[in-house]
Amino acid sequence: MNFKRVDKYPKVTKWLTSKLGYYYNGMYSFCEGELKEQSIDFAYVVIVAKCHYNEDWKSFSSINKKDLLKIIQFNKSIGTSSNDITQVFENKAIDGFDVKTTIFDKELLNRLNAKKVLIPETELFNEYTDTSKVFQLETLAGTLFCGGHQIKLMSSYAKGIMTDIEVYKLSAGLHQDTQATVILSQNFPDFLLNQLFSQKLNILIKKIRLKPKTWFNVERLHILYLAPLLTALCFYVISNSYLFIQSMQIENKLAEGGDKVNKVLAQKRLLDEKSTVINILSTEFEDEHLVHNYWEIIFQLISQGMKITRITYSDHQLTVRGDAEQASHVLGEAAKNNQVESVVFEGPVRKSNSRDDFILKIKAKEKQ
Amino acid sequence: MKLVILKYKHYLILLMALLMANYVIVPLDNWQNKQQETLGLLSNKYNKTQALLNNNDLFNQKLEEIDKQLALSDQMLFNSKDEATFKQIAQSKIESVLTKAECKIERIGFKGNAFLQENIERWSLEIRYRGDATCLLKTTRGLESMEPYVRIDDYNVSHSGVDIKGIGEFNASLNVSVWYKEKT
Repeated sequence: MNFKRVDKYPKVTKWLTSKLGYYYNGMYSFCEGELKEQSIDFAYVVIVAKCHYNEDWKSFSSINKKDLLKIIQFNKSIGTSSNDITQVFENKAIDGFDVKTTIFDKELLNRLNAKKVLIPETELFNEYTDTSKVFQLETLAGTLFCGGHQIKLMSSYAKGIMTDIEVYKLSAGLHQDTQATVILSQNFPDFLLNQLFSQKLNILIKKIRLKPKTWFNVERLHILYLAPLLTALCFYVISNSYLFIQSMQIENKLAEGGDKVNKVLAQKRLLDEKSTVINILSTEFEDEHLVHNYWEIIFQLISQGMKITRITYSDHQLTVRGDAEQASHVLGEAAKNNQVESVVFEGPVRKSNSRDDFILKIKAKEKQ
Repeated sequence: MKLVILKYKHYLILLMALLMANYVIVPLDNWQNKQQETLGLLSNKYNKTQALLNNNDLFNQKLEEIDKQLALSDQMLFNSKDEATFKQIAQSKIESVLTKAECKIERIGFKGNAFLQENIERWSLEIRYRGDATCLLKTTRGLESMEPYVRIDDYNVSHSGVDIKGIGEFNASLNVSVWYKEKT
């Protein structure tokens, strides 16, 4: 992925450009193809002129990358090189690695705060191709020669014996036929932007000083869980206090009305006990059958000529034993009695001395 | 030591947060649940208590009604201070009815009892007697109109053969129930 895609979104490009600065003894902004002096603080991303940093190359032979990274990490932890950019390139010729360290001026670092992203300008011209390239750039700091192939890109301002591009080619070990790209000062800002937006992001990120830790206080990350935790704590403390107070209030009210309640409860208990007694007695007395009335039925049977030898009353049924001249007549007359619900013979009717000997089972009507 | 603490301070803060969650927040949550349950129970108790207090007059009214009913029912029970007194009173009252009816008493015996309530019992009695038709009629009428209440459960009357003239003697056996309430 590269920045080139950003071109499709002019507003994004414009916004990115507005936050981009160029530093050479002061801050410059990219404004309509020109570099204009600005205050230090406006830019988040700063392209740094070559005169404000140095590049140091070291070779580490016969070492694996893991150990090399440990060495680099150790050097960083003991030194003050946290602002340096360290790039590691594999070098098969020495069975090891080349380490490129870009060291920024202390003066530059003092002026630009640690939050800013710093891009060494020469890193924008290195495309890591096998084809040798050479640039002659008219920068604010003067004419800058820059060229090389693959990973190694050398650069130098035109001063001292380095008077022109041909001399630079010789000193950088480049072929004389290598075509130089000349960028005039009026084209330099646009060239820088083009070079920046044509970078691949995954490669660019290794070539710049990026310190995300300085963008925010890392310790504040603890707030992400401490804040909900403390909120929950406050919630539980308040809600529990509220519930506790509520419970206490109700308990106090109950305690205040305790005597009254006990009295009412005692009354209720007494009421229940007495109700139970009443219910029991009601059940007992509701099963009332007045047997005295049955004598009327007995009298009727005797009136019909029955001679009674035994009268039994049990389970609200009357059993009458005796004899008569005609048992069926007695039964018929008994059935007509309005107090009798049902009357039947119990067992057979026997003849004895021209009289019927029988037993009547009579069920009387319930008295309303 | 200080350097070690400083080195691991972020882990220590996280550890403290976890400990706080486990030993403070979780117990507080449990306590809150318990408190909610307790509050619910207390609220119910309070509401019931209030309802009880509000119904105090109703209870008094019901109590008065029940007392009246009990006073009426007391007339139907043998109220005695002990069982022996009750038996003596019950037997004498029944004997009195039979004597008034000019019956010849053969036996009056207590057969057993059933406990209905703490101080109320139902007793069964067997009464055996002899007499004419008038004796039988007066006995049943006398027992059924007696106060305290006597219930005739069953009876058995035998005769050599009674007709319209009503001559001769009856042998009668009655099982009755009476209710005894111990006076407190």
